[in-house]
Amino acid sequence: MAGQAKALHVLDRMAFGPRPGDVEEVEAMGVNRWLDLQLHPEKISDDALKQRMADYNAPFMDPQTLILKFPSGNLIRQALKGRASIPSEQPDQAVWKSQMAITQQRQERKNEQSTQPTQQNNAKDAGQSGAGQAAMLAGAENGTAGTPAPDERRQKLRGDVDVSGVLNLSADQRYEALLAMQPGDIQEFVRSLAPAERPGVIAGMSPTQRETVLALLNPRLVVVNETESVRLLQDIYSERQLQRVMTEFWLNHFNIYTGKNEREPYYLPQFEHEVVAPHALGKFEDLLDAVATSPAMLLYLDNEQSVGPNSPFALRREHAPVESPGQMGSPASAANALLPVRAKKQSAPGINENYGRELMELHTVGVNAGYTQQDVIEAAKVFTGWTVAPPQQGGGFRFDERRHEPGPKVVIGHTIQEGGEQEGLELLHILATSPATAHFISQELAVRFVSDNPSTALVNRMAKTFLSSDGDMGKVLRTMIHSPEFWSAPDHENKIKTPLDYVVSAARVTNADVTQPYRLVAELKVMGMPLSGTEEPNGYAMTNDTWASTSELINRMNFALALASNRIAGVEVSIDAWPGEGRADATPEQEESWLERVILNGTISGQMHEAVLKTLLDTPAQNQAAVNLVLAGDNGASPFATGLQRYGTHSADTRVAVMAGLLIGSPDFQRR
Amino acid sequence: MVITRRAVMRNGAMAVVGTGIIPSFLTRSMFAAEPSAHGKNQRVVVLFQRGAADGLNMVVPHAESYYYQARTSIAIPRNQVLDLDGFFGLHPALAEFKPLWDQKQLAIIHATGSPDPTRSHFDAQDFMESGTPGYKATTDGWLNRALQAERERAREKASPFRAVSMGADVARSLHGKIPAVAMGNVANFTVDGRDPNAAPVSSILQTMYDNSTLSLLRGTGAETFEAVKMLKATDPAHYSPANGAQYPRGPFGESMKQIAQLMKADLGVEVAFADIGGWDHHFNEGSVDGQLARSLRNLSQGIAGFWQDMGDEAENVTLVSMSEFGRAVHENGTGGTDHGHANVMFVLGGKVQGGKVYGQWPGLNPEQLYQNRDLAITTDYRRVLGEVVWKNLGARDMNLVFPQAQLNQGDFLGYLPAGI
Repeated sequence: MAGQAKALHVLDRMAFGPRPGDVEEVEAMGVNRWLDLQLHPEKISDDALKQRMADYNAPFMDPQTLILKFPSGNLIRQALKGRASIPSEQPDQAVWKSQMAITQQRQERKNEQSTQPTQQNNAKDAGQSGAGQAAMLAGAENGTAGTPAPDERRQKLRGDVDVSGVLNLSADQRYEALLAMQPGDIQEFVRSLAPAERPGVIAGMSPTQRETVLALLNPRLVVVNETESVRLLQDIYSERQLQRVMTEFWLNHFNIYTGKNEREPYYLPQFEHEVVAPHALGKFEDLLDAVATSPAMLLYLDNEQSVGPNSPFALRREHAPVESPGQMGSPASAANALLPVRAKKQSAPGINENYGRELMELHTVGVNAGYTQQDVIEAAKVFTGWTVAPPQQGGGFRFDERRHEPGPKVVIGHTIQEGGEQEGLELLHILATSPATAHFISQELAVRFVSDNPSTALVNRMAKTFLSSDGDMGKVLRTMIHSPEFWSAPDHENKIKTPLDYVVSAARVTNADVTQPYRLVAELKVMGMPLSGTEEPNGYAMTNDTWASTSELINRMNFALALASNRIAGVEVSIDAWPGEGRADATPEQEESWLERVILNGTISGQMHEAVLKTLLDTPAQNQAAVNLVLAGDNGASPFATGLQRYGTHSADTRVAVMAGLLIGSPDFQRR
Repeated sequence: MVITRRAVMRNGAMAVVGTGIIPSFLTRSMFAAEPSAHGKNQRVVVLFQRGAADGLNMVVPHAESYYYQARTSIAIPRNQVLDLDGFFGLHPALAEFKPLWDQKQLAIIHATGSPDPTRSHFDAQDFMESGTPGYKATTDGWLNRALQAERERAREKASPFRAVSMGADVARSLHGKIPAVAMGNVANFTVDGRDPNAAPVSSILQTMYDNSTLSLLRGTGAETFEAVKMLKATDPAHYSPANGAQYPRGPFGESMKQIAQLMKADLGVEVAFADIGGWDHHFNEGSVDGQLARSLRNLSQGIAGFWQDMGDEAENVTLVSMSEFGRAVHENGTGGTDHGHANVMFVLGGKVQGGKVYGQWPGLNPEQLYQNRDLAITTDYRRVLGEVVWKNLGARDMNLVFPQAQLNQGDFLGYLPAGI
């Protein structure tokens, strides 16, 4: 493989594809030096990314602050019952009170409705439709489709509040005015606006102001949207591409589902930024330990609930009225403790096998390692007591001795002596250093980065490095990249991009200015790969057959055309700024060749090149109509056609944008 | 034969269950002409409940006292079960199934599943969908091979919509030689709009895919453009369900609605596959209400909506549900259930001899359980699926569909009549 092809290959596989100029840069420095540098992300400055991320506060807050500023529905319901205290500081208090009012209104409507026949409700849930701020502002309306808000209320609001007056205020004044509204009225206010007016609610505000206003409407969604937005911004703009690619690898390996329960989203920023990313290129055992003690995983795989059947907690409950799991610190009175009655509707406390199983099957040794159901049970016992403190008590990892199963445990042939929290660490160490784990992780890496069917020799070589380096991922990756297999993939072994690869690489290759990353996040949902959006613990498959489907191709082709012709709001492509000289007098043939070089680095096959040009040039009049149509985006069925604020198209001729879209939608750009 | 097995005729339930849900073929088939040729026009819908649904709380063995001992907090109280036959009863959230049962269109197979002992979601789904439990090397899916095994239709020019998989990607069950269309959203299944002026853009892309050196992309590209063309002719953006059918909100209801849409558009759909996720209730599963109940309501409303929407055409449709394994008989320490073994399958169809729970009940007493904890399997799930594709699709080569199973007609449970 020659220099340029090598540089492109390593950027395609070990980064999210090249930006204009990247291939030349890597070629000049050499692949080895690039790799050396990428393995030390701390040495790479990432200022451009930091600047973009400065727009978001929520994803960088600790879970406790996050849940205070953006309370979950559960906390709000608790507050309504007087069981959670409302923050005394502003603007947090305003957010809580707004949510309490909105929740109460919703409950009242529900009660009214329960006497009426149910109506069909086609509105999309704001959390599902996913278009970031726009969706949240729209969601204020969608949430009640089918239950029209009483007109008189809207009228009243219109009467009380000078709606257009508020919109015309400066950002600071508008912010104050919105905060000063009666709790919950902001929802009515947003509902009373035409869709086109809604972005004006938060226009020009600082990130903190914007987050607060959106939190008045739906605080949990702020957390979810911003977490996912920042994740995508990092993938697109980070100079530490290898760390990002490996972070995404581990986020899939240690899959978390954001919709698991109401608490889960509040732990995802921490999981991504503190648990996974810092260890993505480090020692596997450190990563495994960090994941095992992360509230995100403890919640997702239910371990926070798991109780040793012979633990003090369980034995005490045998004779005591019930203390529901998760609500600790309210010991039953001595008198009650004597009653030999167990509440009828309560299950006996005991283990939950979920984490114990997936730890072995998916996180470490793999399903073929020969463990048994009994091993799963014993592993679950080892981790009893590994739980999450309630939000009021910090909400972090906690080892609760009272829930821990006493006695020794035998897991995959190892006897683990009674030792409280230490037992779990011992088992994690046994698993992290097992040859089966070395093999399992190496296989997974090779499938992701080399081939759907990696050779045994390659995987063995990587596993050997894994074992001899205490699971040092940098060393394992070096072994993989320095293997001939990495460079010699024949055609049929080419890897097809996953939706994440595809969307991120398209944004990179076009040098897109992404100011509303949630538009791209939403696109991933359409393409079947929502971020932290797969419920089952095995994550997404990384093999070609998973991602080559009719629906997938259609979504990608439409996305490519919309992207290149600037039909995705908040994602701006400036073709004029792409590298290349002398375009002023270029013929269509020259333009097409130039675009091939920019987007595909000149790798399109000759036959395809001819075919594209022929079609493009054969019927100019008809094509111009098509080109106009694509650019106008008024073609009814296109998912990008409606409701999107269009950014001005560029002076460069429209044909160039369509050709660029065609190349991004081409089969050549589906490979990596 | 065909006439007499009609539910309505047998129990005269017609009058009492006269909700809007009874298709007119039930009333007319009593005097109707002979059934159509073998396998002709028959369609199959396969649903996969991903995450291991709790079969014991879907079809409750309410006469088993041990069921109530093992599930102190999540059991469905006897007086709230929708009794089916004095022994089994439906979870109350499956109320929409009751009329279908009463009309004898719904059959239930209990204590069924894949014989492989794995309790891994991933492996169990993979084995079930490949149709070769225990063999990982199988690359294609059982439903794709069932199409290959069809005797009658194999020679006909196949529609690209012959096999449809709802969602962004083709389900494992449909991987294989016969092309399958993945259908994320019918209304958006087009390349940059429906306007005929967009054709050149679409045709350039088609040319590019035709010339791709990667055969996977070349093949999928060809299927894509052909399917788009066919679908375009049916005005897919404008669909309203018939007979007042209502679908629940969310992806499953959407999938069922789109299956009905595609089937009614006469695109040559023979098999359709849809997923419904969210069954892995390790924690706080709930009983009459709660997490499982919500999932079941979604399931039954989606299916009932589809059935009503299909109307008369439901006569030629058979729908079968499956899930990778069941859940442990005993509830766990956190108000949920851990991974188990046998499960329940539903079969719904115009030709189905329903109103009956098929299969052998292995019992729930501790000594009757699989590995002392799970419902034992008495019916290999391949016997259930084999019967559908043999009788509905005319698939004959069972060794192709389910290698190793050594399946023959004698293994079928008989929930469908011979010679549909």
